[in-house]
Amino acid sequence: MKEHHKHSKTGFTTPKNYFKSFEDNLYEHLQVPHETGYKTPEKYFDTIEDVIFKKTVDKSPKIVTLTKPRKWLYPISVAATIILCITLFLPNNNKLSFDDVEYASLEAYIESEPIDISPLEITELYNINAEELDSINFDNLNDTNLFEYLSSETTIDDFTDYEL
Amino acid sequence: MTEQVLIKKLKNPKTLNSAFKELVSIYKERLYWHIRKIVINHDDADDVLQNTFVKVFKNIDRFKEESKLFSWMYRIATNEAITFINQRAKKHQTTTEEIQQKIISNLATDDYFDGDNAQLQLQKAIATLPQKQQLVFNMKYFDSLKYDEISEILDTSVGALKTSYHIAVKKIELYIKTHH
Repeated sequence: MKEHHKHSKTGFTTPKNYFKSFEDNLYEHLQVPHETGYKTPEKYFDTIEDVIFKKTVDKSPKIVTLTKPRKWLYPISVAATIILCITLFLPNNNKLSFDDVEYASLEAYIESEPIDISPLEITELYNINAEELDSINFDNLNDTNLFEYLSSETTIDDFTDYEL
Repeated sequence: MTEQVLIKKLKNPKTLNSAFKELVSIYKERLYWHIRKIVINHDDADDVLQNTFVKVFKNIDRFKEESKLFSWMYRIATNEAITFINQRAKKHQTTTEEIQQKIISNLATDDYFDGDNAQLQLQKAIATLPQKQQLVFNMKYFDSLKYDEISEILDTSVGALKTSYHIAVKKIELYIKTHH
């Protein structure tokens, strides 16, 4: 066999174009296809350019969203938690009580905010049972009458005298 | 537009955008198919292709023109695809080989695979190869790249590439014969 392709160190040789013909003959010997069989969605290569350009050349300035968690938020959250724990669990001689709330503020809150009181709470508040509560006819009450009654008859004391 | 002119425009901030669009237009398909053969799944290939072009865009100033622009982009695409596969394997606490085998085993039902049985067998055979041999085989057999070009992309000597390819072909031959 004529030496055509000599390995520099070992002295072994191969026939001329052996490697090229080896590769070329792979398909013929093995019936191995030269196509992968992979395909893409229709018009993928027409649309992918715009997707890439939006991430590169057409990229708009970065918008900082308030809802997205940020790295700096975590240490601040931890610090806030520690401060809260210290405030809650350390002995504190300056505890606030219900008495410290200004009456005017409380009254304004009760007047302005909707207060959802269940029938059970009403029976406990006025020391009546459920049957007595049911017997009260609320149908005759209209908003005007109710407002006038509450304005003239109810004071903040009516609420604070009871232990809710 | 020659490669030299394109590179010059890519490195000029005033002409970067138009030159980049030209670059994407020229190389999108070649890079896609290169990536697709590594990650196999279309959606994954789509993600990796986008990441590749974003990296090219951001790092074009670092391209030192020591290799061809095409080789540099191919290298980025290869690294991105391999990193993608490795990250997925890490996420599933398994090996890249097992991940590939799993994807290949679902290939027959993949919406974006319409190969016949011979093509399916070939892909299964390729998936049994070590990663480097897969890359060399795909670049040489399907992309018809020259050894010099593959050498530049994979930073491996031509001699080592020829050996890898030869071994890969022998393994594929054996696989197909035993699974025929």
